[in-house]
Amino acid sequence: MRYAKNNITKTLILMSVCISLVLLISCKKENPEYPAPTIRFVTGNGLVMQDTTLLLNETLRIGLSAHTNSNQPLTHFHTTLIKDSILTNIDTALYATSFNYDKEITKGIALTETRIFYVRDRDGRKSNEISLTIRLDSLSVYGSIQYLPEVKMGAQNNDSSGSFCSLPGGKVSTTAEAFADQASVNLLYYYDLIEADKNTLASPGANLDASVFPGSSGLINWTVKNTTRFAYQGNITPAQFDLCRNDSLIQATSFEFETGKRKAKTLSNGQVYAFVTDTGIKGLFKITEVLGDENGTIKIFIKMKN
Amino acid sequence: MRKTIILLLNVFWAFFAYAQEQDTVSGLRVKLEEVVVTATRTKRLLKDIPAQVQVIGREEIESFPVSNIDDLLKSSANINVNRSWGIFSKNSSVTMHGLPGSARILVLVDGVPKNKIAGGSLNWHNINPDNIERIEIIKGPASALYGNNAMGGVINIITKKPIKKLEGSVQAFSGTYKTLGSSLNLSGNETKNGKGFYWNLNGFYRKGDGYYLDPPDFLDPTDVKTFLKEYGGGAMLGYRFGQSDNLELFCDYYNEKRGAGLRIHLDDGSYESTITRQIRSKYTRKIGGGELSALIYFTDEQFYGQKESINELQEYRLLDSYSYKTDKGFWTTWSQELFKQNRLTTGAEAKFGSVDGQDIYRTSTDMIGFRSKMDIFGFFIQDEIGLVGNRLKLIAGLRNDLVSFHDGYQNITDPTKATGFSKGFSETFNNNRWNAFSPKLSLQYSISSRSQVYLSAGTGYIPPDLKDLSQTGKIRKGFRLANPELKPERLTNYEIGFSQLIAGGIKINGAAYYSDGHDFQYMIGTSDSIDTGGGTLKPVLKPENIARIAVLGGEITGSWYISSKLSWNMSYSYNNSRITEFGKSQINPDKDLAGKYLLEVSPHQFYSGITYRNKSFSANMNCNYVDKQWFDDENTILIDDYFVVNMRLSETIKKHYRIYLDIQNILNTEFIDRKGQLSPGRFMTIGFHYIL
Repeated sequence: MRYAKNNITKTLILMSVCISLVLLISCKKENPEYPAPTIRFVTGNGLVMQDTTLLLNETLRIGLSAHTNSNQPLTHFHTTLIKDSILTNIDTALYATSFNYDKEITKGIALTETRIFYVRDRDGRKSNEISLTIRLDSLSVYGSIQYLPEVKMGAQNNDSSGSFCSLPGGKVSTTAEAFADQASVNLLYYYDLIEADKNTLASPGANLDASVFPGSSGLINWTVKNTTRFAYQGNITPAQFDLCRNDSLIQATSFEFETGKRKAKTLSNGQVYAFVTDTGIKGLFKITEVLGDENGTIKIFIKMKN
Repeated sequence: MRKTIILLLNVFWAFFAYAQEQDTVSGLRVKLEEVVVTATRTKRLLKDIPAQVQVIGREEIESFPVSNIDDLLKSSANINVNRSWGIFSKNSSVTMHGLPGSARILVLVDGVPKNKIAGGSLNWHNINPDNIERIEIIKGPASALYGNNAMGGVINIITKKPIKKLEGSVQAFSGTYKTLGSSLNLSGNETKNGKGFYWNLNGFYRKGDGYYLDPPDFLDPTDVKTFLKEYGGGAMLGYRFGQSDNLELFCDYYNEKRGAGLRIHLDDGSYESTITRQIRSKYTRKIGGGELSALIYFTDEQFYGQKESINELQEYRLLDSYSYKTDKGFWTTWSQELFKQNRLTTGAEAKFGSVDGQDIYRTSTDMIGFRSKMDIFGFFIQDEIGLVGNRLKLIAGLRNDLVSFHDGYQNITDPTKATGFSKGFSETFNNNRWNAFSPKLSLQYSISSRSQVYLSAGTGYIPPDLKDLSQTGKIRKGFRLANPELKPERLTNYEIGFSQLIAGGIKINGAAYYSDGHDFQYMIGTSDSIDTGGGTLKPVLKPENIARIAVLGGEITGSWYISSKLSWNMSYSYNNSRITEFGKSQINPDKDLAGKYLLEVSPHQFYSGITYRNKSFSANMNCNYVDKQWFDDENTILIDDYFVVNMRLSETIKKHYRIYLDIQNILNTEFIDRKGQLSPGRFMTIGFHYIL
């Protein structure tokens, strides 16, 4: 009996040392080597997949298809846009085993526009890169513009002027009117007390606190929320805005939708902003008057590319 | 009203039980004669220590309702344990002596620091309560002996040593939220005539489905239950060369995975997992009139965090965080009685910490890498002198640490708006060195064998952790920038205290203290903010040594050993912890928090617990009140106070079988943490032990 107990004890000691050693030196299992995801241009149906030349404002469509080659989904779609020598990176989050992308591109003012695309999967494996370069046809001419002089909007508590504006027509609506025609609304004006951003132009798709436009017609209850994005143009003066007779200035200040801000904040008289709607309307506006707070008003002049 | 009823019930139970029990009072004697090693690094009687010291012994551990080892600390005065998600919390914030932040206390397991030099919260889960012999808690700064982190106090967790040839237990338990677990603890002692091997083998496993962190009305499809899955094990092999000459080798392993209550696409949603390994060896030997202790250790921690989220604009974000931290070191202590009633203790310590980590944003191109190292070399000396027939005891201690920060590096690759950097860059941080000089002087006078008073002046320091020095990345409040120019925080504490034994088995001890802290770190908002994509801007923050703080506090603990079977403990603590001066920040000169209260400090805390224990049955009922605390540095929001009642009933059958029932938070008190998330409410566990 005593002999057996001693043996048990020794076995346990041996076991403990062995287990400890195994735990301490155990290596993490290596993941199998999976191939990287792949991405390619889609052909057919008028989709372009090779470098080309376009006139200013001429459009083309591209299609992309990407898929994972591992047990992990795609999580990241990256676009590098090089307009002449200016580089912009655009990142889009995904969570899918495959990904299809379709985009209409309108040729801008840059002499060459190169777009480089790739995807990555959950484990960071990066796909091949594919690219497309579009050159500006030397025969290009600037296009015409549409001008909306003095669009006046009221802040959220203003009873006499509506806070919502539809483009390209420039119709200003109250909250109830806008709720009834949500798909047409591209801009809204409010006075921000929560983030202290004060006079702000945004769009229904921006992240507004539900208390700004409360009630049954409030933004929280909207089912269609268009998004407009903005980029402040500190180098453009109101006089330059006024002199704009074609879309040259709009082309020069235009930006990729994904890179713009969802809100134009702390607005003041004399500022000029470029904007792009999610439906592709591009333009500029200048501010001529900002008055008051939640009951206040704003006056803007808008020029848009036809 | 409910609080009053519980308190009255507690008192009533004590008196009722007192009337029933007329046994001799032995528990108190045992307590007073308890030997404590942590306070002076030498064996001293509890009553001879000029500080507030609490020992939680094995019997108390067994009779206390405990899911994690830090639950036991709630019974101690002046310790604030904030484990807001119960067992599902990855970390528990344990603060002491009116100071905020877990890092400002030093936690040791058999003398090995649990605090990581790299920073981060202490992980209490990887300590198996079944394997703990006792916990020694020393309150107040102790950097004169222990160096870094010992600012608010020291908690030393001492593991069991086998006595019998073969002993141990197997446990299985089940609890609320489909919690299941088991543990094993086997030990043996093969020593003969003071020589031979002794060993221990232990392991545990626990899993649970968890609960929703948000109230039902606020749940959305991305909310899921928190969950936990953890297991660990350890082995110890010791050899005794003689009565006071032994060598021990320990190996520990721990693996955990804990959900964060949010899932968008991934099966496990957001979660954190940690693997911790440790190997340590300790040697103790008596040589002549002296005693030598030496310890060497190596700990590493692999951390992985998967964080997925979706913002107000329904944009998906996925972040993977990896880090590898190491802590290795050794210390040696020599204690020698120079002449009668004069003991000199001296020693040296070296600690080496490192961190190497990476945050990879899977839904954009951003990558943030960081790594850095810190070395600490300390030397300490302490003299304990007994005067006036040993009624007056003087303890003078001094320690000097040389702290070196080096090899700091960060690398930002392909940044986007997710991290807010305008372009990628690499940066090698300047090496930095500090010297920390930590004296302490204590004087105790024994008025009688029942009554002692003491005065002490001590110092504490904490070097900046590697995380704050070198890690840039997202935090809950915003986005933190590394600050390699940080320097240590320092604190001086003046304390007066007493210990009084009253007839009838009542012991009261208490202290009042004033602490003055310099160079305390605060996060300062730069004028920048990051657009995280949701239209919500998050502030960019940077830590700075900017605040001077003061703590005016006191605590009182009462223990009534009503009989050998029944005891009642209560404690109350008060802390007024404020920022007294706030320096001019280089990055935001307008910020001024002077006069504001410190976070994670509850001004009033109260505990009362009663324990009944006979040969086969034990019962403990206790209650905790934690006063309101400030939610934010600016003191604009208060977190509600709360009151919880816990109990354990345990019955041992035929010496080998024990069943127990734990009910934590009996009243199902609902309280929220600093993230605004719910506590788990009432948590019941029923368990079964087989004891060899």
